Amino acid sequence: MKAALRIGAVATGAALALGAVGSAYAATPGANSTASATSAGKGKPGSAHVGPTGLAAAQKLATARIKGRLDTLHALSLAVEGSKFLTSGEKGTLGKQISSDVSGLTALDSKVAAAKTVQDVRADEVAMVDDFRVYLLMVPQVRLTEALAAESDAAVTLQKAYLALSNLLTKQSSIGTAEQKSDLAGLQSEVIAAQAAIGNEVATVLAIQPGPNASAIHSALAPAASAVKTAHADLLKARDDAEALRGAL
Amino acid sequence: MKKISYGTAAVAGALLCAFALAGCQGKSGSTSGGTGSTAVTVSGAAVAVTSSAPSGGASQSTATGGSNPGDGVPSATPTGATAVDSELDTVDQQLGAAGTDLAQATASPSDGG
Repeated sequence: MKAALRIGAVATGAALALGAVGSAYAATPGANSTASATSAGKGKPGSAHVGPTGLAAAQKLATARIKGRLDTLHALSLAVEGSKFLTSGEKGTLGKQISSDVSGLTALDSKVAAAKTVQDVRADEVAMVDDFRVYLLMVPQVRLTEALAAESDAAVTLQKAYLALSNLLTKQSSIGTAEQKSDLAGLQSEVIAAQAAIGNEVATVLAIQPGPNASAIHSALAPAASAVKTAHADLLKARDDAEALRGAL
Repeated sequence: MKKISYGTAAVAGALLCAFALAGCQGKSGSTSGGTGSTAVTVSGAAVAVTSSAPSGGASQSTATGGSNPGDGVPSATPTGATAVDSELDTVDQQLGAAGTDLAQATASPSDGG
């Protein structure tokens, strides 16, 4: 339920921000990439000094794009504060990064409002994307860290279940069937495999920095996403083994 | 005459304080009682509180044994089974949260990233 609210908050923030600018966004060249935004300015040097209406439209669009990011950061901040799984250290690191981004984007918003040319606004938009990478990096950083933390907790919980099931098994006069022993061993090895997959991925994810190279950021995040999937599959198998054992005892 | 006035005022003040205290305790009692885990009885300004053991979470592992102690089943067995059930429920929640987070982490970034 909470997760659904979070998704809704992020989606609504982005939708409101983009919806507010409507066709202005669609008409803006290079809005989806920093490279094309820069080349658009270079290719048409005269366009940097359009009339006040063009400047106002560019400022409105940039302001809306910044607001969408600030709304997303606010939703992420709430998610981090309310997380049941993140450690205090992880919350501190993510909270600090989010606060830093909020400060930077708020300052950038003021800069956009004071811009004198469309070219200045375009440069601010490039900085808005490259220097913060809210959608490409910050959102995955928070979500992957939380997913890894939740899985780490799940592994600990399954270890407790393993111990409880092991105790139950040894108390039985038959000391368990071969199948039960196999399930118990499987449970343990799957939990160990999940913990190995989780490894040090949180530190790796939190160390990724924003920058102009979107592909590099995407590639840097990929191993952590893969680790979350692998650990998830291992933990689900362990859970099924635990349930099967529980049913048999 | 003045003494009588002071005396009346003092009594009235004391009564008001007593009523106010009783009112506060009564409110507190009704709130706590609403949780279902605490029974509160208000009698004037005196409050008697009876707390039952909290339910759910880790407390389940301390649950007593089987409903029929004479059936030969060790009393610890249901406790362990109850603990396993509780832990499996917790694992479901943890893995559910991880799955939701993964979906959000891998969603396509918007607006240039």
